[in-house]
Amino acid sequence: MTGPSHDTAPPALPAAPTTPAPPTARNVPALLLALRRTEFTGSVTVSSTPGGTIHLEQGLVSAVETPGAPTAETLLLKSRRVGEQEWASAETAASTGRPADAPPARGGDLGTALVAQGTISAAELEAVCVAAAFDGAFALALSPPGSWETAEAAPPARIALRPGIEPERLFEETARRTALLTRLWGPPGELARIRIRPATRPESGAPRIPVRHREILAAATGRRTARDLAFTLGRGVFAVLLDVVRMDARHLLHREPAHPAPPAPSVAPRIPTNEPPPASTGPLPRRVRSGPGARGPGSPSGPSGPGHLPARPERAAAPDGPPNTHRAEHTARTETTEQSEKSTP
Amino acid sequence: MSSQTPTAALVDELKSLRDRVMGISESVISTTDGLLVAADTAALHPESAAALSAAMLGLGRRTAAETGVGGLRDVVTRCNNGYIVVLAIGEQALLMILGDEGLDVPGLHRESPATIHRLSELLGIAPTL
Repeated sequence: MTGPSHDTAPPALPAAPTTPAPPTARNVPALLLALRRTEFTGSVTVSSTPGGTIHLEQGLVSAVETPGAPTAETLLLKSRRVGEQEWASAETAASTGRPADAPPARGGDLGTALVAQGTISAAELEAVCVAAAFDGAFALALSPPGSWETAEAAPPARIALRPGIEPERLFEETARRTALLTRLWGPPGELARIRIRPATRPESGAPRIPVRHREILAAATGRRTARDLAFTLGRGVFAVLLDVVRMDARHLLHREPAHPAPPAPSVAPRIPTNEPPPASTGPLPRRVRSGPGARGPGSPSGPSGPGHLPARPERAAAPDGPPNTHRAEHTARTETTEQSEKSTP
Repeated sequence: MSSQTPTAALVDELKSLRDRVMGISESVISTTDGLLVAADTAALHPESAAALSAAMLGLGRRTAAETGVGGLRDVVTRCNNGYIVVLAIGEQALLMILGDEGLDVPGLHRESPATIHRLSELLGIAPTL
């Protein structure tokens, strides 16, 4: 959990600083880099499914909020680092602490209040915020890119990293995570859509299953994706995805079909049911977005179903990426590499 | 109609909504007097959810009428670990959705009208639109 290693942003505030300059950028990373140059403070809201909001302070990323990944708030509450009572009293302190007519000038007021009342240390809070920001950025990268808008007046994140993360570092880490999962399993976007449940037959003579995995097994009802598990357990989505890959390699998991076969259409003409309807030409009664991974577990079907395990057996090509922030991933990488080695024959 | 039982078609519709909107964990269709119609649930007790959500919708409608803030759109309850959203399906039925704290609320607002429309067709209720 090293903090961001960049120089801290100069605290000197320019008096009349920013050209709002929402530059015409090609994509969100380009936009963030441009906003970093202009030391933009505000937020970038990305509209896609699910999209999210990137909070910026002087161009540095102070928080990422998206339905695709737990925020710092969820991580704090679910991990019981912060109790509900303490949370409520911090909210009270944060809202009574400022003059009634003052705008919530800076973000992070809730985090400050939590530290002030001694619920959590500043260092621990920062660690959670860094983890949440990286995880949020990773989750945003999983969804297809959409449009965006910038807003200077947007309400700031209430638990914010200060100083924030250099956008560039965020991209590097996101790219590293995406590449790692792609190498170990396949397209992370597909992996993220899979709903899992424990394998019915536990691995016989299995070496002990780590607690972390047992908790995932207990929460995996067949209805939850990695993202849902992350929210349930109060962990990062990336961490859960890595665990899922590892557990899949040990055959601890079954995949639920991503969709039940689209509901028999209520408006479609009747067709003989004993032969499969012509898939592409038939009437399409329902708009069901089924990803390419939407097949039953272990169905050998078509090129679209993700193989049971990594498509690419060539291993250990681990390019030494940028320095990791998470120790666990180091072990993850080595362990999983061994797994795929075993399963290649 | 299809060869499916109506209930299965309803449940498939609920599952489809769960697939389309991030953060939905369970959902229940009930009549406005609290009788269970169909459910896509795991941990939730469907009958209780049906009864309670009917009460929530009734209270919401009544309160909306009493306070003069216009017609009811949905009843949203925000909790520490999630959301409970109750949506009317016509005058006689409702949909209760349970989501985690990361529920994609804009996504739900975008997707739910189509779901409500299809559910009301399946239930044989004239759509309110």
